[in-house]
Amino acid sequence: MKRALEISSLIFTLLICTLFAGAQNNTSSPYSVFGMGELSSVGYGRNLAIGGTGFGVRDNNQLNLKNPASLTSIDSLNFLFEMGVNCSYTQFLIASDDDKQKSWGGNLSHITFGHRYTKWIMGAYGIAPYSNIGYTLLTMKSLEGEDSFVFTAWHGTGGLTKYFYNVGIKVFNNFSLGGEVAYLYGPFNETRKTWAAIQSDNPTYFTTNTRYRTFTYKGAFQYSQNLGKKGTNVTIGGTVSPQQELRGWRYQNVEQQYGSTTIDSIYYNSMPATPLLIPLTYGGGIGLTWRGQFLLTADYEKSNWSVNTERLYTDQTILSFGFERLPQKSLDYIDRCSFRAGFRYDSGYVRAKGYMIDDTRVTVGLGLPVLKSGSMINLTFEKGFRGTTKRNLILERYNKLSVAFSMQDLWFGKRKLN
Amino acid sequence: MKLRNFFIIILMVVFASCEFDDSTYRYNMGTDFVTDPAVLRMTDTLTLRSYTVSVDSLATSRGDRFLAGRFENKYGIQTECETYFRIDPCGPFDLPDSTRYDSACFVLKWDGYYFGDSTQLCEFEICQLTDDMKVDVETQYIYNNQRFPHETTPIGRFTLNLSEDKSFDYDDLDSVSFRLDDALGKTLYDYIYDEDPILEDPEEFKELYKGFMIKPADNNVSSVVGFVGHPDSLFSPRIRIYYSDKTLDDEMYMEYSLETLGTSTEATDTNYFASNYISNNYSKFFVSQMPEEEEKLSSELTGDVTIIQGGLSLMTRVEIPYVDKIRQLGSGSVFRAILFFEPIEGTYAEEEDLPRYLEVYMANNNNEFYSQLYKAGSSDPTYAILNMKSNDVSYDTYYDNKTYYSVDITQYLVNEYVDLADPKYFLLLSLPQASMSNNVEQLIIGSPNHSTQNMRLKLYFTNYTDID
Repeated sequence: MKRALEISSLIFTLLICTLFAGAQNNTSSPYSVFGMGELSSVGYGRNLAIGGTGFGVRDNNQLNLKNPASLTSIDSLNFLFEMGVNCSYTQFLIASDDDKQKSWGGNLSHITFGHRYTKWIMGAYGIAPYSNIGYTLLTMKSLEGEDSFVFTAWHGTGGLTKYFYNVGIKVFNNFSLGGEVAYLYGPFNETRKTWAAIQSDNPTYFTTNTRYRTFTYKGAFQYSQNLGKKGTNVTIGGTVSPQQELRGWRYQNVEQQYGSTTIDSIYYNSMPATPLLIPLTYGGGIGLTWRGQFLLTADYEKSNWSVNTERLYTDQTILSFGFERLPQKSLDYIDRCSFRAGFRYDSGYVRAKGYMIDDTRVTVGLGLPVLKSGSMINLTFEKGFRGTTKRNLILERYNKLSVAFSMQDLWFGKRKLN
Repeated sequence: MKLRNFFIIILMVVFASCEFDDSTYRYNMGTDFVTDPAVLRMTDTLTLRSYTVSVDSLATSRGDRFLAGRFENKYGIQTECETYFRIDPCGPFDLPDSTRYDSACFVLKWDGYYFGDSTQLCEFEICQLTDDMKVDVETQYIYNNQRFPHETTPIGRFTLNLSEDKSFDYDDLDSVSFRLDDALGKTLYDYIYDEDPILEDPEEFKELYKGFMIKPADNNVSSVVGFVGHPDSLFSPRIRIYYSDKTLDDEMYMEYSLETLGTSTEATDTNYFASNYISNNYSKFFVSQMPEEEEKLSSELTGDVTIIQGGLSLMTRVEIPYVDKIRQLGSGSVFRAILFFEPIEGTYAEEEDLPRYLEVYMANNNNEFYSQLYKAGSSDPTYAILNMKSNDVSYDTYYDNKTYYSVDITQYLVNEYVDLADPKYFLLLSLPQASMSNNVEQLIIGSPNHSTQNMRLKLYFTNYTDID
């Protein structure tokens, strides 16, 4: 009873945290002005450190959210809890400008709970950002009818938050199926302040607030085959999600400011927002475990974003590779740690000025076991770049440190002292 | 609760609050990074109309300047000014029996103001009034269109050479001093010499000396000139009686000075009766007279110019009859509207002579003021500002090397745009009201149809292409 109380109080605290997490999605990328913002679902915890791979990964102690079918690999635990935070430092480079802009950002990356129902069914649910919007831009154009300029300052915030439920079912001993139902919900807020160079004290504000929502679904499988006795095996897996439509309600507000105090409301309207399509996404991957010591992974993923008719969308391809020195059963702490590395190339899903905003990163990570439980602290460092400096676009060089905690039910159990 | 669980909760709260983002910077992403649906444009095709209006007669009494003279402008409009005033009796003075009357002078001080041609001599005459000066019963003022009968024969004449005496000099108390008729001078001397009780009784004194007036000599067309006209001033006008005694000092005099208080009224204000008559003669102009107060005179009838003048309350009325046409530009808002107009070349000698600024009023169709025009979003009035040729480059190259006025009338356009009905108010361009009555400053500006110096409105509009 006391234990139940403790767990419920913990969950309550988490719920409060998730409210904050859902309310604030975080990025500083100018490219987040496009589409639904910067997509943030690279991977969590262990997956992140091995380049975001996970279709062909099975883990006894941690949740692999990349492939819901992999949940069945957790066969000795009844309850898992994971959460992560990250902190990033980004430099923004423009070809024409030597002055590098810098930005610091921090965010809650995910909170997940895993539950075992029977020996062969395991479920997980949680919350994580799906996309992040956070841009501050200045654009300039000419005033029509006179030789002068007009400026617009763009400020965008928001993004989609994903509330998801995963289930994995062991169909045969080496074959599992999985599925995910997720609810995407979040605001897209944009304020544009436009003013003419010759009359900067009378700007016009155009505010758009849209709340989008949709359900998404994912089907998954995983198949493992032992290759020899000493823990050498190969796992393949794949997922597919059908296309879904993000729908929402949009509020538009136009205000004209005069001087420092007077603001006239010019226009106000609310209407259904232009729907956005979350496209058919499919992917597959392989994981090769050698003698229970090393893991090699490779994933391929494709999303045909170009179903959105707007010209800026382009089909997205993600290629990722990972390597891990698996933790060993040993008294030596170093042996019980895991060491990870990965590489990931993401072609991006939008174009700017004709260029694909692709993203390339390398990752290194450490899995640090806590006490003698299976709980683990996963540290991941990512270094990568996104975009290009061509045609005066921006190249973002980012460094990101993520810390994820994976805790198991042993934490919450009472230890017996002999 | 176990320490461990407590630790976890603390951790959660720290994580939840660790979200941060410092995006105070901005990127100039040029024009083609994102498409800005806002279109800002300038249009100068809205129809404008301008009119001359004569808003009201002006109170010219209780002022501090005497205006007298005559000038004819390029358009044949002749401006004439006369000044009327009264004098107080001299204080009682014990003159020795041996003193003798010598002469009488009138002393005036040119205050530096003139309107006209400073190279020509100005000739003036001073006459005695034959009738009482009267103030308006209601307002207790005398107006610019009031004249009072006077003797035909002047009691003195004088000539002013503006080009010689062009600056106001504080050392010189009497830039103008001229001989008065000796009959009047001797009488005024005798009141003092004889200790006449009339000096103790201003009422009776002003029964006899109803007042004086200074007017331009009949055929003199040169300038309108300003003299110091305030009784409290060291330089105030006065009649000076010179006398001699058996001494070497030949500069002995007594003075009858400008009336301080009006005695025939319940006056508490000084300088009650001193007033200026100001009028224009339009016989050589396109039209022979100005319209009534509530009327307007189209610039099309006056050679595509309008007239603004002090002393007579002539103003220019500007109308934008099809202001609703802005709506054809689409949904949006007016964020700037500037009216430009130019003083007609040849109607002023030098840029420096032009009024530095004009006031702008909103008025109804009967030219009744509604309010002064303010800057949009501000409680500061907006003015039509003179931009001199010598000014460095203006933002609009069209006006480089031009003399023009520009005024921000955004608030007016916003009002008229928001209001769907026909235009409610019109704009009146006026010389500053506070100093209107003590000058005859004239500004002649081009109408919207003037061939070379036309009035223009630049309207700036934000148009959102992504709303209905």
